[in-house]
Amino acid sequence: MAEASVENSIAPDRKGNAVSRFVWTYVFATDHKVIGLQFLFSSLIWFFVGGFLALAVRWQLAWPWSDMPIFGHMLFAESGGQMSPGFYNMLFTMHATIMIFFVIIPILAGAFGNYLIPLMVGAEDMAFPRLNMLSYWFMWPAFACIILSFFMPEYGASAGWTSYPPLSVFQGDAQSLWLLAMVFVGISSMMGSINYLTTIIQMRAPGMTMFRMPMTVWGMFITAIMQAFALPVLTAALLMQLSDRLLMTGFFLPENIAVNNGVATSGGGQVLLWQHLFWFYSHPAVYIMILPAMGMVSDIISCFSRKPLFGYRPMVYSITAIAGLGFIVWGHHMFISGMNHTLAMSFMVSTMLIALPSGIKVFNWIGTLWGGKLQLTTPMLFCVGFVSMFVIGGLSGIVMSAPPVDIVIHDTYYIVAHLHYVLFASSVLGVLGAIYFWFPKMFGRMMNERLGKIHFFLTFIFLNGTFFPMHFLSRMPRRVADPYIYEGLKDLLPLNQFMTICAIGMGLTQLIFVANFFGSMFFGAKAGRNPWNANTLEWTTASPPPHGNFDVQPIVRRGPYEYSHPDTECDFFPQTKTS
Amino acid sequence: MNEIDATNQDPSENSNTRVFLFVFLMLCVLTGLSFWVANSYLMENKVVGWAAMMLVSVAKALLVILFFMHLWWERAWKYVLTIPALFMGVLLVLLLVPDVGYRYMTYSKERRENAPKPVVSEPVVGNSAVPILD
Amino acid sequence: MNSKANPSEVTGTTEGGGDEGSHGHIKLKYQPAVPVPKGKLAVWLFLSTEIMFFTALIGTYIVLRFGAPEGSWPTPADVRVLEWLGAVNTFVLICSSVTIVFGMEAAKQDRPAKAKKWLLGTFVLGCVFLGIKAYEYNSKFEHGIHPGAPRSLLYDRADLNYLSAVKSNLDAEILSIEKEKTALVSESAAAHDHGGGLENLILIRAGLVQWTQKTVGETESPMMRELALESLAHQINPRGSNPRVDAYLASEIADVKNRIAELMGQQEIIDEDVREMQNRVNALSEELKLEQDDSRKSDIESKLAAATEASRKAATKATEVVDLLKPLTDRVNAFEQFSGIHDGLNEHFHLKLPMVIPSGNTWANTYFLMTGFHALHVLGGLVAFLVLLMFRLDRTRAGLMENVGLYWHFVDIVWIFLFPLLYLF
Repeated sequence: MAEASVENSIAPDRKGNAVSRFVWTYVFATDHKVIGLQFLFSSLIWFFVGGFLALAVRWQLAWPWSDMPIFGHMLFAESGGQMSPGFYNMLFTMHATIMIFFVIIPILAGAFGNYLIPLMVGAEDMAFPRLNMLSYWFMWPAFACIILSFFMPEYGASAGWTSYPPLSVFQGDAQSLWLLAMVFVGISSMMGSINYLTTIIQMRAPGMTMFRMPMTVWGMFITAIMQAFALPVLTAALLMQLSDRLLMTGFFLPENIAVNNGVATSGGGQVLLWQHLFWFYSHPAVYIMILPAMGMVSDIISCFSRKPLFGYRPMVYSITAIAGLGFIVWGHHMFISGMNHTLAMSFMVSTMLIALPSGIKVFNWIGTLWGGKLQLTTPMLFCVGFVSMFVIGGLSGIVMSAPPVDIVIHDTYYIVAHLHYVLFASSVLGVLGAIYFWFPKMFGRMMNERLGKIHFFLTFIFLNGTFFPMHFLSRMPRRVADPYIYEGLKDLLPLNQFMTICAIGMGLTQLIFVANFFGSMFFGAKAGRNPWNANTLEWTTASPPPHGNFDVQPIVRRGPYEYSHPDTECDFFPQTKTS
Repeated sequence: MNEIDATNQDPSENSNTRVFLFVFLMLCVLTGLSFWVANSYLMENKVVGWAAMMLVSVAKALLVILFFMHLWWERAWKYVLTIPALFMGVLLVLLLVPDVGYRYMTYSKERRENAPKPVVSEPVVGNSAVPILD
Repeated sequence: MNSKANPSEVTGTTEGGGDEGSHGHIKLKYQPAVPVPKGKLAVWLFLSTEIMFFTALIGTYIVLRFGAPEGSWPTPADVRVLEWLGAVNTFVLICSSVTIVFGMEAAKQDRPAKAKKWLLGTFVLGCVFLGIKAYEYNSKFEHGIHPGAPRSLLYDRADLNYLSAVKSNLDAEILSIEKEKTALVSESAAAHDHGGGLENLILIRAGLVQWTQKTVGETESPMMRELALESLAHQINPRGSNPRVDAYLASEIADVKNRIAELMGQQEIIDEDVREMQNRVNALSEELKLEQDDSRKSDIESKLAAATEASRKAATKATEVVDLLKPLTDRVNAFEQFSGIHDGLNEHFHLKLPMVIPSGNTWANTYFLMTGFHALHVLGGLVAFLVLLMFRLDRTRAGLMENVGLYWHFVDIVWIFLFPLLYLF
């Protein structure tokens, strides 16, 4: 079926022999749907690589220095399967890097952004299809750099995903590859965001006003704006750190910093400058990783509650407010860097302010669910899971926004709990829900509901088993290969073992998803145009949509959430339907 | 559009050309002005000189943006694009200043010993090249 | 002004950015929010990302420059920056901005030949800008101003680190010249035209570097140590007049001369002594030859041994004095030979010795960072011009020309800010 979707997506005059067809379909694909699927597949592959690295981290924390099953002896034959502390550093660095830059951002903005934006606004394709193709191409040098970095001395980049100097500047060559990979990802995202913005601004179907756009498109729109403004700063900082490493300049290094008794660089720079520039991007990146998921979840919740989204405009305004505030809170990652106190206070206040729009969103989701005719399908379950987990992740975020608290819990497992509740338990659950929801549109077949529900419940239980206990570990430092060398932390070992078992369970659960995904792709029940009885434009066209997306000119007549409208006999009211 | 067609028929009457030439002249004059400021009494107080030069630069940039990049003639969307970018840029730099720009005031002793030594023609007492605040 | 036609409103443009034709499927209608072509909107979006990129670079410069210790930023003369050359480059870029505007106007009026001429002019002006930039870069590289530590010859302060760098650099230089000399069997000019000859280098090593090393090693006062190092840096690469160093040098040389005079006096006495001892030894050995009596012979022999010993001691003392005198005379020689040089040894003898320019490296890092990325953007613009020059620049391409023009104006604006920041501040 995937074959058929792709067949439909390519232009008819480009069908030739098998090889040229393959090349035109996959390498030179300019159709937004093919590019979206390419992003989806590569992100899912990386999702498993990143998850595997996470399991290795958990293994070390539960059974420190013991032989990892299968891989321990393969990698560390000489030490009897014992990993080195440097290897552990690589594990958590690459886990974070891959999950953030190769999984969540590409899957949200790259896969769903590409696939859904033109369909949802009623466009035949992106504004610049070839630019879109380039933006996927630029992911590949990044992939190559990261894969290559695993084979560099010391196993790969291991300065943490934040790559703080001076440590990162004195790492092995793998760090240079890491920096290069990030530059490529940045260029790719920047091309993508310009493309999305132009498409959303200029290529909406007649009648599709800005305030008739589905929340998914709003989420993507605001995300694209954030990427456009924040990414170039990171790119500049990455290039400066690259020159610190390769040309031995000193943008981020103090004077006379000596390594191996030699003066290593020209110095004169400021270590803090990197942290500022890095977080100027990477804090907005946190919202880049959640806003599209919020948008998709809003759509799915409204659809399966068979109710209009509660407070559509406040939802739009709160997304915008989150984005705006997201740009002025980056300093809360640096409270213990010895920053200016007045500055720290202003960062604290702006951080706490973000709770307001986030609270509005949660309130509105609950308001949407309230009194609805709930259909607890798999995508709906994932989205309800998203809302509940986002509350936990959001609340722990408010706790640590106060510098006095943050100074105590900084770089402990409390932070790890918070960020995983936001990024895994929220974003990834949202993404999985979105996959279940839009899979029929992408491949023309439904995913298996029973397997999907098993997948959801097991994931939900295991993720809480893995991440919830981390809230109690606010005395256990993160990024330490063996915390139990400290007498006071020895009692934490059983809890860590429990968490690791849950993590392994969570990893295995995802195999159900893989089976369901590929099985349904070929053997799933055929989906019609609109299996969920949803309102938005993508459900008015064939599944999968043909090249050019629409067989009739879509004319939008109302907003996207007119479920259970009194004017119609059926409980949904598609955006294009004439009353 | 009609106006453009009209100007196309008689390019010698193109008023835009005159505008562009005037802007060009202003740009040259302003470049000269900032050069003059740099060598004038204004630089006796450096902050005044810097501010004057930045003002001149802003004026030049505005001329280029408004006339060469046609923003003068564009509709309201120009504000949506330019103002956020400007705001972010200024914000980033302003927030960097208290934390990074004044960092030398709180240098550690070790770092102070290695910091670049300023040029002082008067004899200095001891090693107090940089202000000691702690 | 507002009533005038918008020069950017272009009829019948093809949109930039590779629009696919519709392959058999229906052509959809849209409701654009902004009355501009897609390509132009994308260029504006791209430019706003570029604003943030250069904000990060200029912001880095600003915080590092104002974060550098008070008064430690290099002056333009220190780092071989010619302000007027920057002004010329500004002028070149402004001209190129005007030419591309006229090129676009010509394209809009459907005069492709004229448009091409203006575009070609813009291209040439861009090349001139890069040429001047290359000249400026070269003049910095020639003086050892590089971004990055191993090749950069800039030091933040005259300290022991600096001294050892000067020493090793000079030793390497001398070694390479000596090698060159032995390699060229006949003493050709090649070895000699390298910086005023080997003698000068050896004198610098003996009379300046080793002297400073000795002074720094012997003196107790940190202030004197600092002055000695500072004066070495001043003689290698003066940064304007430094009365403090001048006073120090004057008193040092006077002191050295006094000590030379003192040592000369001692030397005379010692030489007298040596001569006397030698005479005595000579007389005794003569006496020994003539003497027949064994008992007296042994007596004379012991006297002779004592006299020889004394003579040897005196000779040692003499050489000691000569050794003491040597660095002093070297110092005086060096001073007399080099004190007249006001542009510094580096400049005068075309040497590449490490220089003390406080915050010089930070300056070089940021300067090359900003101008480098700006030059890369200029290069990108030139490539776009080349591509554009291959087409017939009629009305249908006016939109494309406008997009490239917008980018080019942005590059101009960046330079408008870089010029005062880098050249005039």
